[in-house]
Amino acid sequence: MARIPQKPEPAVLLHENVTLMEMDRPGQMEELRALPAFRAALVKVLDPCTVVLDGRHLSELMASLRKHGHHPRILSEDMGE
Amino acid sequence: MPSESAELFLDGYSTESLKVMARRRGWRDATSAGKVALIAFLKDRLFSRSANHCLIRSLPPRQQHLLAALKARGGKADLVTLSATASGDSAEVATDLRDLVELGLMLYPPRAEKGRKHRLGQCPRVWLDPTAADALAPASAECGRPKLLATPPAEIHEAFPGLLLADMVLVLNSLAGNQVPPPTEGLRGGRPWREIATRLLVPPEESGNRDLLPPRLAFIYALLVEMNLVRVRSGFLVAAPEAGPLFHGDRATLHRAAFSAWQKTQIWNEFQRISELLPRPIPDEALGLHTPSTGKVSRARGKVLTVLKRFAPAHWYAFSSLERELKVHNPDFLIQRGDDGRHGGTTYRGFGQRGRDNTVLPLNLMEDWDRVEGRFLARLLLESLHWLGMVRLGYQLPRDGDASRVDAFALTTAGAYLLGLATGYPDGRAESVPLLVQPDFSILCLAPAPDTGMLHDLCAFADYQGGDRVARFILSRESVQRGCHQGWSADSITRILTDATAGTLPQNIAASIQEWEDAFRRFRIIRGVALVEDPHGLMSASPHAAALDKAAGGQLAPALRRVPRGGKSTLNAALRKARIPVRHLDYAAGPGRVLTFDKGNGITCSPRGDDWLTRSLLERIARPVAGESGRWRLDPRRVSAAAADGVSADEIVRALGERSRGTGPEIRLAITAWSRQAAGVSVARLSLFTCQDQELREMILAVPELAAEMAEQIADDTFVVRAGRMTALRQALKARGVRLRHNGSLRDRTTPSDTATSRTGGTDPLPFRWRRGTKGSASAAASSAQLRFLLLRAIQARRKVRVEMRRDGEALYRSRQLAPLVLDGSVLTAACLENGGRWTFHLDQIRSVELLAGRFTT
Repeated sequence: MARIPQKPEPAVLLHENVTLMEMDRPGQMEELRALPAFRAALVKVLDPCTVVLDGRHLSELMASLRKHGHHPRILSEDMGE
Repeated sequence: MPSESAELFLDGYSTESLKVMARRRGWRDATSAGKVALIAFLKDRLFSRSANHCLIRSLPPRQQHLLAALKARGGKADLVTLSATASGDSAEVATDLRDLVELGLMLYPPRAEKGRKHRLGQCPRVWLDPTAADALAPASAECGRPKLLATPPAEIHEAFPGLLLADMVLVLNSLAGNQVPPPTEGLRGGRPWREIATRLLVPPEESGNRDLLPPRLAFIYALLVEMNLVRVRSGFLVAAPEAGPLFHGDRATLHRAAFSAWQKTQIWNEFQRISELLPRPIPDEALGLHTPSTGKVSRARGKVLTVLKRFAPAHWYAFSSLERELKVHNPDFLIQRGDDGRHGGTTYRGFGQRGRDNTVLPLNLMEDWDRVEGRFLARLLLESLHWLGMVRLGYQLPRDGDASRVDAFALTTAGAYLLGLATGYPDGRAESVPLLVQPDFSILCLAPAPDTGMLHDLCAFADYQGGDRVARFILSRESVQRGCHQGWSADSITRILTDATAGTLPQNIAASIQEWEDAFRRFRIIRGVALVEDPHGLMSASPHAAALDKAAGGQLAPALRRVPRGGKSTLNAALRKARIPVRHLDYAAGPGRVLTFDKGNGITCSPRGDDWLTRSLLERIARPVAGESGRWRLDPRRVSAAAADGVSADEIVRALGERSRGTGPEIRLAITAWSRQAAGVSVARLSLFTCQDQELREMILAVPELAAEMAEQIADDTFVVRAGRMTALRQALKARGVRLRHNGSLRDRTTPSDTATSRTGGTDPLPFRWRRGTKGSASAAASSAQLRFLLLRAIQARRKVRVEMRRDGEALYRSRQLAPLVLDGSVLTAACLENGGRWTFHLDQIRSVELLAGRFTT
């Protein structure tokens, strides 16, 4: 059995280059959960309107959203829209 | 010799015949004293001013006119120019010129090579003999302005400048959202460009070669490139941002920019558009070619425009008058007729007239100006200048599909403005009419050429549908949301349409646009965000809590804040100042090796593996072990659920491998099996017999003893072997020279003498070689089957092969190392690993195939 290393000292975690998805209504999350591509890309739900996505699955997610009539805007924190 | 003798000697001869005699006898080279005296006498008598005056007066009027024209041009002129000023057909003029040279009234200039003379018809220029020039009367200003056409042409092709500008907008907007690569050499575009061509307001003519851009589209592309309105990004064309302001700006400015771009462009080449001319190989290219370069074509446009300024705007002129003007003023505007020996000769070098069956006939430099420069001129008028809206074209007789003929032309107002002949640009308001937006989401533009600014806007949020007399657009959810991507809003779209329809926008259109925009605004994805997580409350407990709170940004969730844009350095500085340790988790970088695998299905995660992606991965496929922090156990249900979400087993295994020192085979097998179970695949232990070679398969099944071992055929090439009979089948096949691999598939069917020694020591039967006609192969048919079998195996296993082959008609076999790609019947498609390229071979051309140890990737 592998040895569990000691816990590191408490620290603040700085998550960089995160991909967020924001919705304008909480109910939209349930609508999106019906899409397998969204479930595959979903990493963490931060609040009912904000989720963290896996950037690797973004292209499949966008294709799936477009197929279902959604055209989300993709913004970049550095470059803007 | 006394002069009387000479007089006597000359009696009975006319002056003209004496001159011809003197020249033919080579009086310049005379050496004897008698001849010298005679020549001196002849010079004095025959080439004096009075003698020449008498001679010129006795000439036919046409020849006198030629001499006068030569003097009017300073005593030196091109033969083409002289021909243009003379009356009569070209053959008569050529005879006249020849006579004048014979009479010594005209000279050819000396050649570059000393001691050599030009022969008749070899030199493109003539000089006037100085003694003859004295005898001629002073020249009068003969050249006047071009003469107007007496009657307007019967058929007129109008010019619309707005059509070209509108098509430029359509082409630019077609680049958005479509992956359109730049045309390759020779303006070859392929399918994306064919689709763009269908959207143009003016349908382009059909081209014989479908890969080539239609001429009008190629012309527009050349203008856009020259105007710097298209860019290449990631291998595809995109519209430059400055295109929008340009098309919304002053129409005259836009037209002038397109006109300037045409003058400079080297992508579009009118000379290459002359279909009657074909390249003609020449034996010695060092002598130079007459084929004009793109730079010369560009300069020739400017020279033609200079001559075009002599024609009054809005009046009809015969095309021949333009030809004549150019012949007189600048016959070498496109092709230089040099007399320096380099470009010498009597025919155009490098191209010729298309003859029957695409033969190439030579064209004479002196006599075929109309067929070369004249056709170039016609091509300029028919295409470039007409498309630019500068000239109207007229035909006295019906055109009847003759695309290379033009009878008359007239400069338009826009053309006069661009040439500097007029100051005012035509008012484009006549062409811009209000839009008609219908409740069925169609937008009609009732004009031959919509206003370019309006067209540019419409293309952004509506789909162009073509149209004959009207331009038709369709509004759709997709097109409106595409516009939203480009920065348009429902308000701005509605406002544009309301203004253009004079306030008659249907209610349902405005409501739908608003609804589509709302759907567009529902989600947004933001990349590159920085979030700060404080699970232990270190920041709030710090004495610098206020500064940290300000630097960390707004709260997104409990203990989680979103760092403002550009605020990472500020936050880091504040954390350093507060002496709070920070762990950076960069999701753009690769994950760390934080996972280890226990025996069985256990996974241990290091405390450093607390990034959200790793945790999400573990939660997707495993359950935490109660009471043991950091320990997880694979869960078949979760793996199945992940597979149902579209996360494949390969993807999971790869993600686990990135976070560990390699996943164990048990983990891989478990994840794969559970995933496939979810995908509806069941696995059973069956003994399968597979033989992909049809001929061999039929041969095997033809043996009753072997066929009896097969229980069921489950595919074309696969059989289920009867339970417990696999060993018996293997032995029965082995006894017949067929050995089986452990998974039951056929390996080879060679006798030991045919099979080369295995390079891998016998563990892997490959590589081996099979050659036609060697001892042991059953028959010619079986030999083809053997080669096919080997090639199929190589394709399946992506193994390189070495083949011995020869093309039809070749005597010797060549050895080539290939990557076989496809075997379609008896035709093999393979990539050559030595010389590159993709080749096809017929199996009959191949003598032997040797499987090599190396593999190839596609």
